[in-house]
Amino acid sequence: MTGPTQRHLSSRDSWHFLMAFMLSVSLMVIDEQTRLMVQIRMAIATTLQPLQWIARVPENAVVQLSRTFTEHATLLNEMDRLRVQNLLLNQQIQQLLRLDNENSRLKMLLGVSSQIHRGKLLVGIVIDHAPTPYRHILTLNKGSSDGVKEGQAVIDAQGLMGQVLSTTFNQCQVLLITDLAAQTPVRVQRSGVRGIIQGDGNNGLLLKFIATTQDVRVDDLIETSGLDGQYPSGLQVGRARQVTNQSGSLFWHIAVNPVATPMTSHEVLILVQPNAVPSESPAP
Amino acid sequence: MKLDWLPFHIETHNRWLLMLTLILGLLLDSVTWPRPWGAAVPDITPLILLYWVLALEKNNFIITTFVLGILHDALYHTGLGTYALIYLVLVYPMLHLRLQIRNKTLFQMSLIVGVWLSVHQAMVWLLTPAIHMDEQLVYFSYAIIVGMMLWPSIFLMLRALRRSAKIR
Repeated sequence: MTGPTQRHLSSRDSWHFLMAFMLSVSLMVIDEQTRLMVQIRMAIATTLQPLQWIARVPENAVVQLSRTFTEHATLLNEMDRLRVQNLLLNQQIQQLLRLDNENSRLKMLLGVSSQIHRGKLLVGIVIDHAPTPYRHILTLNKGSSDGVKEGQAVIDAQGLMGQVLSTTFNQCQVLLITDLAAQTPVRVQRSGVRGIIQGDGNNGLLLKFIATTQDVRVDDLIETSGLDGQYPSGLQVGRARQVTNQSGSLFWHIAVNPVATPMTSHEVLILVQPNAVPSESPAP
Repeated sequence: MKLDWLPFHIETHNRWLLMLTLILGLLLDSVTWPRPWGAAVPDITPLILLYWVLALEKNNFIITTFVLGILHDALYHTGLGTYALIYLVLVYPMLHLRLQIRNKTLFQMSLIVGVWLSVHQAMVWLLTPAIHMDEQLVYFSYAIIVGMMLWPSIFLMLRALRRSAKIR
């Protein structure tokens, strides 16, 4: 060390700076180009989790308080509504089972092997969300010990939410389809036109690369096409909210509302083995 | 406290308090403000870091800066090393200039902080394009002005802490 109180930068300080600078740049490159850093990042994030919980204390307290004061009557109403909904849904399930059987029978008659695959589902509970409005990432309470792997699809009762980004032993992080970095190959259910869905970073979606000559309308249902091999085909993704033609563009500008509700869903499903158990001999 | 048993020379003068303020800064930055004007709330962490860089002229803070950046990246899902780089590039010139800046008045310091924060915001804008694409540049640049207005209070608060806890 040099002078006792005041000193200017020594060459050692500049050397430190240079080393740290190079280290940051190489970290950025490695993180950008490879997946080597995922484990390190998760390790740091897991270590810092208690801090994040502390940071959430005021927010959580407000939420708890407002929950406590939710009116009794509201809850009763909600229960009635859910009972009715439950009945209707049960009824629909019965119908679906019947149609499913009928479908299998018809396919057998046609000599086509059944494409209906029964995957293994895992119920995950949302335990955390990314502490920044810019990224749409959830943390679930299921990890590699439960069989969760990177890339597996995550759905809720309404439709596709996203895919598993990284896992630790008992947790996994889910990149939502509304994140700016997420892209999902999809098709329009009504016309079969294929495109790519991208998150707009603001809880909405953009359907891209559909030529203005193709058939898309407002309120069309968008579902996964399964072309990337990442998601199974036919998972509902969203509904077209707005279809506009910006002058000079070859493609429609299509804003899509996601059908899944990642911001309110508490329990979600992880498709652990989307195509693992094909039902070769469907029930008659 | 003097740590004689360590293989290198280190003296801690309530340094844990310094670290605590930086971690508090990280936590404060995790508060989510409603969009779009939420983007006008500046990051507090770099301002706290700046205070310590200016105040403790015996240290070069390079390692602290680097570790703080990495923690920030891990917490906020930015590319690992991005904020480490941003903080390093911001802190290094301040190490050169801090003896001059320390003698300025609070108002003059605020102006310097404004320039400094502009560099910060510009680098954040450039290096994390994926997550700031939909932000409005207007609100993003308001953060500089808000940061300048916050600086005197941060400065005075941390100075009071430093003097009462004798952080050296």
